[in-house]
Amino acid sequence: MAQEQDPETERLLTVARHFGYNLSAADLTIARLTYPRTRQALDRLLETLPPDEEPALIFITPADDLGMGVADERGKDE
Amino acid sequence: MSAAELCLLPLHELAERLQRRQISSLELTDAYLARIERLEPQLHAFITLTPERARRAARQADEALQRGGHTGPLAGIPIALKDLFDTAGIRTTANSPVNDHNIPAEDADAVSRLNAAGTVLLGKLHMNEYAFGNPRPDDDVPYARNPWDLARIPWGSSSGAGVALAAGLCAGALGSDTAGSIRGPAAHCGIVGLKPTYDLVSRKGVAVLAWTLDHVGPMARRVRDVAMLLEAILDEASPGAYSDRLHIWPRGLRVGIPGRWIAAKQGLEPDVLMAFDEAIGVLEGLGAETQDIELPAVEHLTGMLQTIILSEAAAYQAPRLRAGGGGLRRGFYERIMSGLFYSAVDYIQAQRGRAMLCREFAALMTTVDIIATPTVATTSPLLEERMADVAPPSAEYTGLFNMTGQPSISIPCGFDRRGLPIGLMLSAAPYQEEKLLQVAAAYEAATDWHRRLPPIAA
Repeated sequence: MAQEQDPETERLLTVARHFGYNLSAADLTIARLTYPRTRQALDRLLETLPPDEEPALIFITPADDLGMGVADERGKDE
Repeated sequence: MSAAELCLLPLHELAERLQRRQISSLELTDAYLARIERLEPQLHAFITLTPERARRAARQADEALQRGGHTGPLAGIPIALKDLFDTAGIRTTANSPVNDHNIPAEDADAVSRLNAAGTVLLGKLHMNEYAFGNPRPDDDVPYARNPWDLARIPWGSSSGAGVALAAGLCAGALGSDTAGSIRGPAAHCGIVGLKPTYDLVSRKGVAVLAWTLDHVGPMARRVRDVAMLLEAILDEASPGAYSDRLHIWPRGLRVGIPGRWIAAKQGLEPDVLMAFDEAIGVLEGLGAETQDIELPAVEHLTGMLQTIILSEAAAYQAPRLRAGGGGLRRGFYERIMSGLFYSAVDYIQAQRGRAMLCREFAALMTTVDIIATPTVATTSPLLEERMADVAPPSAEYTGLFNMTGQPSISIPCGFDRRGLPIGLMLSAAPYQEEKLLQVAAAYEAATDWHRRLPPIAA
């Protein structure tokens, strides 16, 4: 007998099916717990992000570009 | 000196004895292998042991040391690797059934460098599946047990490394850290764990959890030990670059303490906070100028971190997720499953937030040299409690510095009333490993928390 699912679980299963993932409600134990909280946190982030903020896909400047290698750092704080 | 005392010596002291030919690498390797055989049934620190290969490598190291000449400071040192580093000809599983028969043809870059340094590989260490799996009652594998209390497990995911080092089953180890997986087990096991600046150490040949958050780093019993291991695994090995300069105290050192953020952490244990406050007192006694700081943009940290880690993990594992799990254990499969529900737009927004976070931390790090926090808000959890808790542990203190890519170290700073270790986390600006290690070494020298041994190891 088919079990009735809550609307949020049904929605997530539909989304997953749309993208080619055939999940069951049992697969979503942790997703049901964590996804809504993270979703809300992302929404709050959007309220504060400057419009011109670019994504940090390369988020750290390589040491060479900063002129900071292991050797270069020596002696600075002696 | 007994075999147990030998096995528990810091790596740098073992290195000195090997260089002076006071012990042989084969004697040392055999001592570790015998100790592993005795304690492993209770600790489950290893997934794979490589005793014959280890003895062969030890004999080669002894021959090189006997011949003299340039061997490097790590020649003959027995080490172990988290089981997500590719090792040529040795099974590498990331503790996942999908890799049960995976025998890489080549070593990971960091492993090649340790081999070139003459280290002796004892085996591959236990870990959470793909560095992210959640313990579950129906799991078919044992968990690495904390030597300080065998009913407890160290915070993942480099759990076997923390256990093996605390129990004296190896002299040094490599781990990986995506949100705290080096520093967490280090704190819970009473050892030292360093997450270097992002990409300072090559990730080539290391199983992926989340590309832009994964870091490779050393774990050991002393700060000097992790400094020596770091020197060996850099793109260009530089013996002494850090370890020869640990005696220097950075002049005018400014330590920032984000008191409000630390106290706001849900579940922060009073004993952890007390040990942290005492550690700050020690740093002040050493000459640090401490100041209370407000951390920018951290109210958005969890949302950004979760979105990035889950999206990247789900992308990496997408073929297996499409195949209904494809052999992954439930505790990992269910956890990364939630990454499927974030859109490309969500991921980009989180990376935009990360850009803001990094920029504001770059500005903050012009006003302080070190940020000090507890490593983890709690001491080591009971295995049965972790199995009953569906929600993964929160990694805010540690995960912050995976987001910004800053170097961050955990060192022992006390014990709770149950006798479980507590970690102090110090974090510096990008590429400031030297300063970070100097401060950590000075703190270590001023305290004796690192000298205590778990009951099973004593």
